[in-house]
Amino acid sequence: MTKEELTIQSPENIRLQKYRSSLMASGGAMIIFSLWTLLRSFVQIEAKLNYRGDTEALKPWITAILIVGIVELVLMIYLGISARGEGMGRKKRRPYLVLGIIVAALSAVSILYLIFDFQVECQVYGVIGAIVTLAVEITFFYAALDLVVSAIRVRKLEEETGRA
Amino acid sequence: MRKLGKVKNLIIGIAMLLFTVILLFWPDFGTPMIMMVFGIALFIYGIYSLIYYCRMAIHMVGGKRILYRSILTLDLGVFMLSFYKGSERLILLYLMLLLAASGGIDLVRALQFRKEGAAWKLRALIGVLSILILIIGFIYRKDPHTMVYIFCLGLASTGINRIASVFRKTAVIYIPE
Amino acid sequence: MQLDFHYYATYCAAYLAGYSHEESLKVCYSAQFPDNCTRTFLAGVKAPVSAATTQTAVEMADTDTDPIGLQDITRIWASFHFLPYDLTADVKKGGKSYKNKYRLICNPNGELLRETVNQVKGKSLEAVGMAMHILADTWAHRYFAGTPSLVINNTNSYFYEILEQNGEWSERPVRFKHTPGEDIEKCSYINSLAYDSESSIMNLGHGRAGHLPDYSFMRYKFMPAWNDHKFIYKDNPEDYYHAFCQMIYAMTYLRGGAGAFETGVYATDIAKPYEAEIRWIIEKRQLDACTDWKVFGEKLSGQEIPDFSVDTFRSEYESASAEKKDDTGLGRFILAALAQKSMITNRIYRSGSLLAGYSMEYDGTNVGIKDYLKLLVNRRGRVSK
Repeated sequence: MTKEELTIQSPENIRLQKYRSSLMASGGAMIIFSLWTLLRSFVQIEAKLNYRGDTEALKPWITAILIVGIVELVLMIYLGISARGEGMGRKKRRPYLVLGIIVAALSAVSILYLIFDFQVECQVYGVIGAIVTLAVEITFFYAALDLVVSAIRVRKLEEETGRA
Repeated sequence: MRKLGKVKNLIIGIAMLLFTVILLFWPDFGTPMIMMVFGIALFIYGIYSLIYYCRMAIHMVGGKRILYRSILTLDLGVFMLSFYKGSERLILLYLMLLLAASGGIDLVRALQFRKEGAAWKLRALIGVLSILILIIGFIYRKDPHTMVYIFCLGLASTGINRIASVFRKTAVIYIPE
Repeated sequence: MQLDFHYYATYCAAYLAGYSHEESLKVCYSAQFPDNCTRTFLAGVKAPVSAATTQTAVEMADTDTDPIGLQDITRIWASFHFLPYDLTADVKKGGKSYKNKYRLICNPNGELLRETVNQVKGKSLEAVGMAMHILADTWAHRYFAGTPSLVINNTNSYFYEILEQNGEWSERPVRFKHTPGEDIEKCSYINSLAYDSESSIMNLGHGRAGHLPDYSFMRYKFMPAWNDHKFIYKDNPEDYYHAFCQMIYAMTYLRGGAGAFETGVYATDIAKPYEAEIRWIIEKRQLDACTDWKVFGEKLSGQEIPDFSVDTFRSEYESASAEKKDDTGLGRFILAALAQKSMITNRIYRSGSLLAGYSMEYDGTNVGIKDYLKLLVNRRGRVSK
């Protein structure tokens, strides 16, 4: 390569770096948000069980919830690691983009549910708690959407700059 | 430091010392109070991080992670306020890590001062005291009041520092040629 | 920059500028000393600690990151190692807080460099040496700011060394780690830990780029946090050669040149006969170029250059009486350091930023940090003479 090719950056490359950076951030967000959601759910379930006392009948349900939670976590970690890998310029894994679209769609549904059910959330968690929960869900949706959009743009720009 | 800043620091410093006295005399009341303090602190830190993102980090390469971190911190703060009764062990662990770090740094600084021939004994004493408190805290970790007492030490020290900083001269004079 | 350039290369530049061997030794000693003059050292010799020109890692870890602690850190690093390029730069983004930090970004040939060099005209050789340290660092430490700031000084994983071999150019990723042991061949270097806090000392200066700015042979590209995803190509060999030639020009002026020091001027004509040898030293792939610079310097002057030792200043200062301390090498360096810190703090303060703390012009009665009154005593002493 020539020195100019290595040391002068094209506008397309600037945008490519910007979307790669977004992929890194949103991929990390997927992992951390999911870990935190699972941990919080564990603690909330444990607190409620301690409060109720009679938990034998609920054990199968709790087990099912935990399994679903762990499966979700594994999928999110896969999504996050794939996005971060593509953000660092490594090879692409196509399935993760489909998973990203599904996650974004489900998150949008979750936001709508929280908005419709806002008053109940306020009664259970307080106004501040309800607002923060909504903010978390909106941010998660933003991260998922950002991941999908950035991944698509990265691939397009890599084709343009000839690095695919 | 401007006068308003000095007054603010003085008020905060005195409030910290008063709070320390209250906690020492009523440690049973202290435990849930401290956990509430941590929850509020995390919540405020989350708001601060959000403002920091909007004003500064939004212009930074990779700044979006600050946004995600701030929202998570807000959620953690709210969570601690809701479930603070179960978080004593986490807070005690955090306080002991702080003690270990500060004691370690004081000892290393004391050694550096000694090597250069400067006064080092007070610094070394403070470092040794921090490590001793850490060890005692570990031995009595199961006592519910241990966390309160360690927290009070840190709070009193910070309060005294704040009050001392009010009387420190900080401006630099400039003498034009 | 490090000992090889601050001490030995400055000796060479001083000698080429016309200083004698003994004068060049004084200059180069004081050009290296800003990297050794810590609070701990000054406390050890019972000298004014406000004259500190650097901080050890432990000192920085020990400093509170409250506004006063941060001001203290900024005062030191912006005054001696990351001289701000343009305190009035108008970046088209961010509020006042962001702009204030952006304006502390270091680059060569700024207005503050001109003031720094002009300030030491007619002063001691120790002051000249200190100014040369600051000048040299404006080239090495470009694009970073002397204040803890995540949004300015942070970098990401985009770090590539640019290599040239037989006219062919290539790049390879730089691998950063946090344990000792750097390896040029494996392109493995140390940097500071990533920490997402605006005021963390991990985000001070070029910590996130490790020692890469201080290795004269390195050509690399990286993406600083402030540059909107545009990378910067840093050509250290070219920058170091410019620094060397500018030092010769600056010292020629300080030795007795007329007019004022101007930025963007380089004594390439004086360096020309030695250019090949200088560039060979600069571009040689080694972490420490002391031996090569020392050989070159001794060849220039025909005299031996002693190794640098902090004890040289210490023993003279400690054995002097209280009245004579200001006349020792360390005493003169302290005066120069206090004047520099006072001037830079004042300029940053006047630009509307409190990042380096408050500065007040002396009106005969006001007293801030007592150590700086030494400047007044010294001025009165010079005037009465």
